[in-house]
Amino acid sequence: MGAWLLHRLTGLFLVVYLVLHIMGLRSLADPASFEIYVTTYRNPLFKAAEVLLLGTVAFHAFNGVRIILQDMFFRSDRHKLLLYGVLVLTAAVTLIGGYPIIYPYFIAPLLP
Amino acid sequence: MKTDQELPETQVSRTRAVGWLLQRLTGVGLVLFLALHFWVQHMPTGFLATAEEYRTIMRELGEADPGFAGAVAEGKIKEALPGEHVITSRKVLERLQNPLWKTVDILLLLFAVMHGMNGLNNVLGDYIQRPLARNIVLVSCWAAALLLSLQGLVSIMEVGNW
Ligand code: HEM
Repeated sequence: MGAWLLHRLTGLFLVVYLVLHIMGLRSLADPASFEIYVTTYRNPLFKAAEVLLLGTVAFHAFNGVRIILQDMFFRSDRHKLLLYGVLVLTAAVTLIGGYPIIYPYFIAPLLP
Repeated sequence: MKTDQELPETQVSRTRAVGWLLQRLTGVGLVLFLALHFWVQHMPTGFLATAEEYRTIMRELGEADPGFAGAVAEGKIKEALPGEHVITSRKVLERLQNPLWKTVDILLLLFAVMHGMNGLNNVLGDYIQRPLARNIVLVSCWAAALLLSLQGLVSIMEVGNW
């Protein structure tokens, strides 16, 4: 139930983001507008949001694959285990992929 | 107004089954395309500009276009931080020069839009029962999918020269 709801909410959130993303890409037609567009996404707040977006996609993707595999191959007494697998993979991808994203904004400034 | 129960049962369940299957097929495709997309646009690879490369690109674009130089002067276009990798029009152009990458980007666009709008339709279908309202939702979702696909296609096709 929790996983179902989270899958639905992440899916809907991603639809909203997808629409904004595709509309933003119109700026590709002109280098100056594109660089301005990209610059608005390059600040600590948006970099943190980028990692959140990664986490959202990662959960939805792994959970989506779980739903598909589960329907095809797995008995229901295995479903809990698969869900834990999804959570572990989501956390791993978010941490590993998120690190280089936040590094220049949050980690490099802390280094001597 | 007819409800689900009054419609021929096979008709309702068939449209819903198509939506269910489409969500799975596009979902599987998206695993590949989104992974590639994340790798080239969000990870520090040669598909993004390093801080030094970005400084050069900014200078060259600024020399070619006073509007660009103005945007830099106003701070609307910012230099990269040390260690930062930046998405930039020139690197996108270089990548989309390759027909294979262009195909990948187009497939990503079409799969994401189809999956997103079909998913939205599936969700709304769970809460909306009246057949007329359902049809309006269905048509709206596919109309939105068509418009978004066209808009995205124009953006992709304008970059690079084929
Ligand atoms: C690797 C990528 C993805 C995979 C494997 C995936 C998989 C799935 C699957 C299997 C479903 C059906 C769930 C069910 O029937 O219970 C689903 C639903 C959905 N997905 Fe995705 N998806 C992915 C990416 C996306 C993206 C990028 C978006 C946004 C554009 C998105 C939006 C949705 C929506 C709105 C639903 C409907 C939610 C529902 O029925 O509760 N998905 N996804």
